Amino acid sequence: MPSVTMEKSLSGWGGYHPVKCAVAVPASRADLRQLVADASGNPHLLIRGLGRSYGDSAVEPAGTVILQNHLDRIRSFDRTAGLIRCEAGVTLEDIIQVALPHGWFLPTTPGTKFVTLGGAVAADVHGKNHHIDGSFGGWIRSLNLLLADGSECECSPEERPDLFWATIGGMGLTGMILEAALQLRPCSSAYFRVTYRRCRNLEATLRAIEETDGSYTYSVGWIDCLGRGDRLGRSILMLGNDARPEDLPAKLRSQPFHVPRKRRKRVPIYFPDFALNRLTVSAFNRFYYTVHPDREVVVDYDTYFYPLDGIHDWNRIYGRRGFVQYQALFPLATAERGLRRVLETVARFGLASFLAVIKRSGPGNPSPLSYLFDGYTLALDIPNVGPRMLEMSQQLDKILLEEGGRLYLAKDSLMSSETFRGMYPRMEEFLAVKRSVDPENRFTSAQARRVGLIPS
Amino acid sequence: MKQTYLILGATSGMAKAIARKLAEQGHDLILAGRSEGETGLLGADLQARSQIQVKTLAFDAGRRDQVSGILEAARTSNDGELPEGVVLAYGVMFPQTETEKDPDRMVETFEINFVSAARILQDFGTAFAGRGRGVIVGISSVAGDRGRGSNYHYGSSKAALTAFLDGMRHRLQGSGVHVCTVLPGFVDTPMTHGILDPNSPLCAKPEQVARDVLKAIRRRRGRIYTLWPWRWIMMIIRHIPEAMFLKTKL
Ligand SMILES: Cc1cc2nc3c(=O)[nH]c(=O)nc-3n(C[C@H](O)[C@H](O)[C@H](O)COP(=O)(O)OP(=O)(O)OC[C@H]3O[C@@H](n4cnc5c(N)ncnc54)[C@H](O)[C@@H]3O)c2cc1C
Ligand SMILES: NC(=O)c1ccc[n+]([C@@H]2O[C@H](COP(=O)([O-])OP(=O)(O)OC[C@H]3O[C@@H](n4cnc5c(N)ncnc54)[C@H](OP(=O)(O)O)[C@@H]3O)[C@@H](O)[C@H]2O)c1
Repeated sequence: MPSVTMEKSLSGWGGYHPVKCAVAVPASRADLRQLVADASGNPHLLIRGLGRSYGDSAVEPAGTVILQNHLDRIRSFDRTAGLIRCEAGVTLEDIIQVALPHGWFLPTTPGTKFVTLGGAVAADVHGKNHHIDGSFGGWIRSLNLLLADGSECECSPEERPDLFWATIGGMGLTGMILEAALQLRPCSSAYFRVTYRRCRNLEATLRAIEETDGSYTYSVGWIDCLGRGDRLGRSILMLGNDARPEDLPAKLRSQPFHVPRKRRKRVPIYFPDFALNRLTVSAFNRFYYTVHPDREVVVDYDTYFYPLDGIHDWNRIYGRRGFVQYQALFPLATAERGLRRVLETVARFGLASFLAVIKRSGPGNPSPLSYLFDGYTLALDIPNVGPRMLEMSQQLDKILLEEGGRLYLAKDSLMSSETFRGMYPRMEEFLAVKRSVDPENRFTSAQARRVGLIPS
Repeated sequence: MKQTYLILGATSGMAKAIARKLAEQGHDLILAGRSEGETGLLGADLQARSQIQVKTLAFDAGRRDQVSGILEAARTSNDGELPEGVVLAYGVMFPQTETEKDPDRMVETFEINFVSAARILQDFGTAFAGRGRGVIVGISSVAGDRGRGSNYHYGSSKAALTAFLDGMRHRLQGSGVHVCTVLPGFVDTPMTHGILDPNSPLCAKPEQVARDVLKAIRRRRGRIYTLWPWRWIMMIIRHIPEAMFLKTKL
């Protein structure tokens, strides 16, 4: 049955600037192959996962957007070795559900489990353990790709490594990931021991992170963007390690991999534009003043990794105009100055993101477009208030370029092609692989054209 | 208790969700589907998720021999035993604009959705009654509750299926066989892509339908609407006076 193409308004998770796209939902592998083989009917293609990238990475008004909802089958799961091979439409939530009861967890995870395996590979996502375990791509053992000419091929760090690494972090531009084999990590419970630590300002925050990162597998901080002067960069660090069964309260110990079900909440409406300010500021303050510095708690993986997943459609609190995410990365050498400049700029514009997330990143991997390298990364939401938002993001881009930093494609909605070129020096290496497998630029995205990965 | 279920049309959106739920509860499965590749992919998926036993059968409801032979094929693949239950989940819905122009296509709708289904249900009903035990789940549709100008070709095939399932339940009362008529409203599956808005509150995810179906099996319910508001919606639609109904554009 050939897939029906329908028109749908799509945006990224930030809800910024939705556009009409032609969307196809293949029901089977055969449907998918037919779609890709039909080069005259579908000259340009984009694979979309769950649309959790914030900007226009998974949006393409000038092509056919393919949803992989039905390509969500696990191919095999080796319970002894912790190796799971799945179709790309399988979600991280699914993988956890299947693997956790057998003592395996994701090797690293973004702040939401509602992403597809394909999206996680294509963006080479990272988590709270990047400083120790690197990004998602480092845990992929092999990929099965459907290329622009309709052929399928297997690649891995050993077999066609150039194609493999270009696909990791390649934002869907090398071809469609059909299947990926992921190495899971062993865990001894579904829980984590978390220590909270308050830090007075940026300097204290960075110092505390350097001090503690060696002893915690997971580490991330919340920064209060409204802090100014000697409180600029004040934060709460949330440091975590895997909990062993003996760390759990008695009633959970007998079933360490089981997490009692919780009810999900949903944001039922778009919030009016003024609501956010008060909400997030008070959330931070409540947290900041009630968290005692050396408190340690045991929480389940959902609470620790996915606090926002408990509230469906939380992006609606930014109102209908949406928001953009700005995730900046600075190399170690310039991190403190760069972060300070960013925070000052944000405070000056008064356009926060009242909360920002800070994290120490570890060394990068061989992927030419992968985001993180050794340094510090800071992620903030910026509500769409029109021209002032654009002005601020341009100023931030300039700071990043001056300090040797870069932006994350999975979060970006705005950067120009000059900025991108300045931030991703290995772009040409990526394009050489792209040309070899997709000379006609069939795989595209609105973002790829904007940042100049595809000539527009 | 671990039992074996046969799923006909195993790769349909709804069947996949039902199969995963049955597997989660530890039941073994026989998957009968038209595409060998897709049926095999689903089989491997279920085994990876739930460590159950899965067998697959080639099954095309348009092929007489496979329709009349499915019971024996299922028995053979299940070590000579009849499965505990059967879930009938295949179906076609061609656009009526197409079937109006092509009466053969209209007849194909009846043959797939009703004629083949009736044959299979009859065979299993009789065999299960002889054994004194069994579960029959048939996925029909609310479209069969009242004929509508825009979709009565499909609707009447489902009306026949609903009547068949209801009648068989009546006949097999007290035999130990549980017959369940499932009446889905809108469900987000390949059948409705481009036709329904998957975000509408009345459009169910296949997983929600699967949850309702498993609950119906557990509680031995005879007829279920899924999602539940459809029961009331269809009650209203059925009771709209004919003169008024004719003025609507449904
Ligand atoms: C609340 C929240 C928290 C987040 N936290 C983090 C975080 O901590 N760390 C982090 O790294 N990211 C984070 N993200 C971003 C998110 O992890 C990435 O954007 C991820 O790529 C989204 O996956 P998706 O399935 O939704 O893909 P989409 O957003 O739909 O697509 C993303 C990209 O992947 C490509 N793609 C998807 N499937 C395939 C495929 N089969 N083959 C080829 N290309 C494909 C698309 O073409 C697109 O370029 C967060 C997002 C949210 C909403
Ligand atoms: N979706 C809805 O809103 C809705 C509402 C009410 C009732 N229903 C009914 O629910 C059932 C499941 O459908 P679905 O919604 O899950 O849609 P679906 O995913 O499109 O499933 C239909 C299935 O029927 C199979 N099929 C079609 N012709 C066949 C044949 N000749 N032989 C064997 N299999 C055949 C298809 O097989 P292939 O995969 O090989 O094509 C497909 O797996 C159907 O009976 C449908 O009428 C659906």
